Amino acid sequence: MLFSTYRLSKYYGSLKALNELTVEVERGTVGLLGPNGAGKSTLLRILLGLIEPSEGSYEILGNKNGRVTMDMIGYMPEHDCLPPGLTAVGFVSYFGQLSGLPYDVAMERTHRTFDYVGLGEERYREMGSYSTGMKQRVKLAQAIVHDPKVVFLDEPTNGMDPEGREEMLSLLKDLASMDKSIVLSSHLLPDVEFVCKNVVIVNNGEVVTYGKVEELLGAQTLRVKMYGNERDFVKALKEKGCKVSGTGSEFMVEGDDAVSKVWNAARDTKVQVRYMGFHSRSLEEMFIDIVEGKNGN
Amino acid sequence: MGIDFQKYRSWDGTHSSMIKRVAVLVKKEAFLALKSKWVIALIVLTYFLGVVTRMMSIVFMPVKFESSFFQGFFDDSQLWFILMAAVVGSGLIANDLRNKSIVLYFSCLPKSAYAAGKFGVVAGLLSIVVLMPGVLLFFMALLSSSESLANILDHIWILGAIVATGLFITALMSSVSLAISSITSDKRYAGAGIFMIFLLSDIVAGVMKDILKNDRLAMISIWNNIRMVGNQLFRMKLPYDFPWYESLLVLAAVIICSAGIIYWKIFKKEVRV
Repeated sequence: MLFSTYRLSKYYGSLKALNELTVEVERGTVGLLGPNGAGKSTLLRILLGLIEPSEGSYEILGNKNGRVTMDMIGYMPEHDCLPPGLTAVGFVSYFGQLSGLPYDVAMERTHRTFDYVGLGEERYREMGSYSTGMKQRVKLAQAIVHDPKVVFLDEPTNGMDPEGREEMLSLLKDLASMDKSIVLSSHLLPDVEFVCKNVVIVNNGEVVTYGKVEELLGAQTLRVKMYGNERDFVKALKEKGCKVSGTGSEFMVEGDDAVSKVWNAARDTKVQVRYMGFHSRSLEEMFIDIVEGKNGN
Repeated sequence: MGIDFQKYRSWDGTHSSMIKRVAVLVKKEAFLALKSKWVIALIVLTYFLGVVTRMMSIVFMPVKFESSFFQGFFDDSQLWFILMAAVVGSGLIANDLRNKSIVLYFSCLPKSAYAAGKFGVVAGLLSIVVLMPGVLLFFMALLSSSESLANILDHIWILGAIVATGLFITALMSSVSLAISSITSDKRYAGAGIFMIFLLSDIVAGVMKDILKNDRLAMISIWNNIRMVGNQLFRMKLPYDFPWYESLLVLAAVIICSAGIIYWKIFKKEVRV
């Protein structure tokens, strides 16, 4: 188990940032998704031990309520947090030592980690002059230099150019292949889809859905364009147990044996089917459906 | 700037103890502070005015082992102590709040270790100008003294008074400056705040005492209270007409309030990420 929460709540006055959030997340790569104000950052802050929950309990790597040894955790914040007067080497080796690495090991691992994240000679320069992409690489190096078991990443590709973003995502995927658990909080759904095997979707302080990305996206939908009386057609499909969304002459149809049900409904309601094809949802579409409650959740 | 496909390597060594990590924090921050020309200037100034000038007087006129000679160092150097606390202490937490690097510290250190480390930095640097010159002065006076060994041994308690006063001033000023540094994310405000708390309280106490002709109003000044406790430790006549332990209580309250502010700002208040 990577982390679990049980009826975890956090109140700010009358505002409920987390509302009895309960979830059990397996080790591996997990994407934390949700619209702004959904409670992602609050959940992340509680898991990192930066704030106390108002109610409920949580566990990380089997340790209750933040008693996890901090050496096991790496954290890459979203915002700029690099002290301007330090070089990248000085900064990462310093935080490596604070995380428990002896001096010589910290120095060696700092250079290895910079090689790994792709920061060259710039590592000897003061960080005040770094580009956003370089800062993101330094922050990632800081988060992984001490070889943590789980890495929390908050919007790791924020402000990066397309090439840098691709490199960052490849690094994260590579890290995940080395038995590291990754908790990735991002509003860029393709990033989560690329890196994560599991996803937790949070909305209004509650877990809306949790599961494997593959399974959540696995249910293929049928895209149908028709001509005729759409009201009768939709009614007929629903009577046959299909889930139908969309308006006008174009519908998305979900359900067992959807193809034959569409043909039967078309025959029964005397409409023409002008297009029918399978359509795989992207995480983005699934997210929008779930958050807007369109999938029946 | 492409990725150099070096493989990431695991590390299965033994992690350092928490004390060692706090020591790393203290060393790094102290080293950074010592790169400031202001800190170096204050150290030089304190040693020159507090130690060198006193030593020159010893050369021309060997001193008697009197406590007032050593207590005078603390009294005369208060401005340098306050400036040192303001310069060193102001940015310790304020800079981390401004850079938002405080969350990085909290993701790898317990909050108590962070607070202890920051306290260690300001206390360590303050002791360079508060405690060490006093002890140095004692041994220099000892070496140049013409008094008999028996007489000097009779006054060995003065060394204890120097150490106790030095430690007390260091602890007090460290906790006050750290508390003020945790209130704001601007080190200039924190520095001004530290300076004002010591100097303004002294001015207000002086004015009010003169107007109302009440010795107890001297208690408003932090430094007057330090002077009262210091004089008691050095077995000298108390400068004001109230018991020394009342001053000790005031100073203890200042330390407790400072610790309370640090606890509230670091441990209880939410850290924004």
